[in-house]
Amino acid sequence: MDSKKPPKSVRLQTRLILYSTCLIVLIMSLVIILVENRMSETIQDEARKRGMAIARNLAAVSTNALLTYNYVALEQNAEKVALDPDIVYVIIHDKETRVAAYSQRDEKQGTILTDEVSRIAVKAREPVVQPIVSEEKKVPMLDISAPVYIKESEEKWGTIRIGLSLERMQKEIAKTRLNLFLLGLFAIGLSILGSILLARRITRPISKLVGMTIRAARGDLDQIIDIQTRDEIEELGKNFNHMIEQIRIHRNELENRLREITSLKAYTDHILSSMTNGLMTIDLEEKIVTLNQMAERILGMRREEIIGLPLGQVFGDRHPLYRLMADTLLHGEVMFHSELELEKGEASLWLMVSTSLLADGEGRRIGAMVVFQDITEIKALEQKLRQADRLAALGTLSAGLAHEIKNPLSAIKTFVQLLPKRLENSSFMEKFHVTVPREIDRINQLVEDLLELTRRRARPMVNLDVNRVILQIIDLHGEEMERKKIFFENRLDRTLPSIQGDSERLYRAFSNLVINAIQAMPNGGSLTISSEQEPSSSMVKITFRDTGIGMDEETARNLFNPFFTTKDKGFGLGMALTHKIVEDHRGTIEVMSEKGKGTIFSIRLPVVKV
Amino acid sequence: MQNPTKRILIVDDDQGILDSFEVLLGDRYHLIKAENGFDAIRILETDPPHLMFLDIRMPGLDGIEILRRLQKEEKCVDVVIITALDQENAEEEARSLGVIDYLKKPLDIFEVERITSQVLSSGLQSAN
Repeated sequence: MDSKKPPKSVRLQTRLILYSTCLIVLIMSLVIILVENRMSETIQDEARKRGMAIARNLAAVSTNALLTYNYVALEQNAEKVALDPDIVYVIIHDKETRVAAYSQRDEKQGTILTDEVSRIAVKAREPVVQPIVSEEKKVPMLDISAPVYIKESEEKWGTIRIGLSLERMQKEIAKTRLNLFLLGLFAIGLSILGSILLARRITRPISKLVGMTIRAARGDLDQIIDIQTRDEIEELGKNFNHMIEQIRIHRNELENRLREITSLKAYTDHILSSMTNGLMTIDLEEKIVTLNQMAERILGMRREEIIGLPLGQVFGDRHPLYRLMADTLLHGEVMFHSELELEKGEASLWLMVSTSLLADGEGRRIGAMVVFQDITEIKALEQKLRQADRLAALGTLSAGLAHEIKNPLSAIKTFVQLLPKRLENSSFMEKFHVTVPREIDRINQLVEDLLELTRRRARPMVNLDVNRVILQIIDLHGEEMERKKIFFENRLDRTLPSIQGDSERLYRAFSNLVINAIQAMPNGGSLTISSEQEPSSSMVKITFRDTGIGMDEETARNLFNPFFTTKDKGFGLGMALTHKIVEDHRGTIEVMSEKGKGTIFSIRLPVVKV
Repeated sequence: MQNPTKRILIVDDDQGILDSFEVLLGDRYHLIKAENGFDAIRILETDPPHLMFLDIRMPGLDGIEILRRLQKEEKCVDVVIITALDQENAEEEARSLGVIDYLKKPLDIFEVERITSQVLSSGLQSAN
């Protein structure tokens, strides 16, 4: 088909015909040559046998004539034999090798023939056949000589020679050869015809197959070849059908896979573009691979302009987002919901950023991913909220402070307003001297507490025994507790290690808890204070447990806020102060409370390292 | 002016306030002091006063709650609120619960005395 191809393709059919023809011609030629040789041999053999028979016959009839040298009889015999058209000459030699008779050549009678053939023939004691060529007619001949013996004698009495013409024989051979040649030609023709048919029979299904492969190569896989030759070709066809079927199945599978992949890609693309978070991925060379629409919008960059570029080049090496991604990629430092401030013109852009490493199916690192959210507005809101919170806290604080101050102020005012009228009243003056300084002290204490609460630096810490501090407090409140029918249960650990702290401040802190407990039990109850060293940590744990009125969850949660108030109860600065003091001692305070059942305060303070 | 038969109940968790009422009214009236809401309720049940000065913010049982109970039990006691709170809704609530007056701390003795004499001498005074 493609004539431009250098090794010209020869059709299989042509090649088959050519090869089989060559083979047939070769075989036929061999057969013809063999048969011809055989036949020539047979014909020659027959001629030789005939010649020999004639010679022997003549010898038999000529024995007496030779013995008697009866040349006439011999001549007659020779002429009679020479009548045979194939006999060219008949020569009879006598005992002395002279020519006794020579057919049609009487002049030779009595002579001795000296030619090579004659000499061999005369000398021979056995019959001899010598091929010769006649001088006149240039025909091939056989000189057949037969010696003549008489019975029981070794003596040779003469030689009979016949010149047998091979002309007729050769004509016969030529005829046979011609026949054989014709026969051969016919056979070759017939064979070629047969081979053409055979070749066609073989090549037609192959052509079919070829046509099908061409169509299949062009993509037409919806075909089935039907070859019924009951041989390898049929097998080939079947296999080809099977192969095509397999290819079709594979192609369909691939198409399905491709469709799936395409739809999956579309799906992920859709997800990426629908995401309300920005998403960006980089490869191991820090080149940007993915950037979704939200990321474009948040970062104010166009995907086409930065995809494939190194992140450091796009944002600059000092850009926080770049550093974050580079850290993630290089050191595997994964970020979760960390806040990032980016410069955006004069304002800042706040992002909530999470990074992660990207790995392939076998866990090999292939890049890093960042997901981010624009939280600038949330941040601004938070700022406002914080402001509001601060204001609210300030409000609570000032309201609490006002409340706490107004009570003693009210008392002082009353006493002061009454003073001019009752200067002479000793009972009043007595009360005045007790109450007014006390109330002024209360206000002063409040101010002190407030300062304490906001003080940044604590005084130097010393080694102290927590149990002793607690027992001092209980001692001070013992009378009040007795009056209020509050039972104190001492569970203080006497082997408690000392801690480092400010005993005055801890006294304040624990005092507040004890006062709180007493206030919580207006109808009596029990206060259990325990101390122990926690075996698992180097902390001392002090627990204040009362069986008082308890508090609800909200109260417990806000207990340590300064002046936090509920409908029932207002806390001054006491609890806030306690909290502050414990924290200043690098300790913790927890409260557990159930309304109507009681409250437990647990304080943990670090043990001094010896 | 002096009328020791007139009972005045002062309810406040602040000792200073109780002391100042003591010196202000204690020598002219029968002054009963309660440190908390529970005590106040007990006194209200057993020995109802002619006038009650009531603080709002107290541990356990606050002033507003006491007012509610009084209203619920249809007890007629003249109540004057004395509070350090500066909350409009508290005043509104108290007034809706029928208090005579709402005084803010620090109290003025002249105002306290004016209200006291007004309540105890006029027809506003509740029957026992």
